[in-house]
Amino acid sequence: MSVWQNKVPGYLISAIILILVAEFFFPVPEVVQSINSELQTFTAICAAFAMLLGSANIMKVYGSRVIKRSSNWEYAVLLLTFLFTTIGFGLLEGTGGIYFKWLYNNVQVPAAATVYAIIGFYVVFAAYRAFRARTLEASILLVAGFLTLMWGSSIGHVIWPGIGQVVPWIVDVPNTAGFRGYKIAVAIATVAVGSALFLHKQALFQKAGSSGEGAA
Amino acid sequence: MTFDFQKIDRRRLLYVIQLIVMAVPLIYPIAIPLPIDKYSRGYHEAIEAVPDSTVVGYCNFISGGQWPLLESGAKRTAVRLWEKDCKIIFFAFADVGVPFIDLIIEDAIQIYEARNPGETIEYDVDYVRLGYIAGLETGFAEFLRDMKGLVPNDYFGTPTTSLNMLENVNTGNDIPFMVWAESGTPAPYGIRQYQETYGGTMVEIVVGMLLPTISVYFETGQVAGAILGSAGCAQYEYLAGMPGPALRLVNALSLTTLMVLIALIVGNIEYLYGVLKGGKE
Repeated sequence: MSVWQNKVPGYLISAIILILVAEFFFPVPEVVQSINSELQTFTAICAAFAMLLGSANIMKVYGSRVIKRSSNWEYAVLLLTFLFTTIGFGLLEGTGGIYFKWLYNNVQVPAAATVYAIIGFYVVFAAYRAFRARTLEASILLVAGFLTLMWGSSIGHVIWPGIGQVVPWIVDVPNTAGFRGYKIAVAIATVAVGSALFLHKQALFQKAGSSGEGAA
Repeated sequence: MTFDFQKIDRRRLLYVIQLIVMAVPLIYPIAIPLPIDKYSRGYHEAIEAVPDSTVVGYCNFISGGQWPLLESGAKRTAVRLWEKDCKIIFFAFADVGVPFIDLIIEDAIQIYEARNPGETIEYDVDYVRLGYIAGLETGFAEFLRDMKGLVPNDYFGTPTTSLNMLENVNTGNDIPFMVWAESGTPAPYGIRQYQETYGGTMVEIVVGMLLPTISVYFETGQVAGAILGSAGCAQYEYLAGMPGPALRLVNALSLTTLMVLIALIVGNIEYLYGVLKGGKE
């Protein structure tokens, strides 16, 4: 594997990490600040291109499904029709246009809301069929979930007025303790991954290195 | 003819019961007292404490699925802020949030004009729209650092440097208040990049299941208040004195939750009965 494939991306990543971290912790010259600003703008631009990539991917996956007449290919035709229609109206009249907005507000919004609302029925059946006190941990989760659900509905306060004191304690004390522990762990792991990237110890580089040796 | 409970399709039975339970309070309204939680109260108090003519950021992630649950709070927040003569900057870090900004603005203007006859809401005076901004956390960090650099044109293609409302708005320091309307997944990067870095006041509109996440930031004061789902919207409608769809829906949702609770109890009794009898369930 060439130096361009193996070493340069690694050095580039290290330099970017250094610039971003330096500005966060230390007062840096204006030139570093503007490089940092440009880097973040690049990220936003790259993310915008991901939308294009996503659309191309949908066309590839569902287009091949239509061509091969795979199972449920009719739905793929419907999806692609709506995709092209929406893109067409978006390009012709902009996202604020009458037809684009009509399509979105009268097809996408009710469809998404309906799918989300149907979950409510499954939740009731799942509560009956799956959420069982099989173990001690499941029982604790069940009790906490039961009380929190009860607190979240007006009728729960009518059934047991004490719920107004119990659930805030569950949310503020055990939940907060657990959540903070999890967030601290995530933060430490993020620092570890960042350090590994900076020092080229991340699996990506090790794989690149090993395959490079193999190729050599 | 004998009745055999075991032969009943319980899934269908539960669905039918739930449909009835949901429909009854919509047809015949039931008076159930509405408790006000500390998150809604904090939200209302934070909005009321915003000084007049403040520049407010309004980031919308709400999409189709959660729209019926949260629309009421999202619109009434804009109305209340306009009543305090606030200048709102609407933007979205999720593409799905953009069309819903249209709906928030259109309906909020109607509610505002109905409540304040003779007064109107104008673009570039009371609000501006910046549309979709890509990049999520990195994009938001850059947005707060150099807004006009990252977003050179508004949603309609007008250069942001020529917008009167944004004349003195360049960084996160110029936006003292932020409304963060989320849908499914929690996005604490708003808190990280805005509240922690610039110290402004932040309120959130989120679905009810984000209570465990929001409460952590609420306790530390990083989030001043939150509307939690449709129940939170109903509470805010009541607190802000703007009754609407959430107050009408809250009882139907309350009874549906009761249905879930009953299903939990019945399911577990059945399970324990099965275990005691020596079977698996």
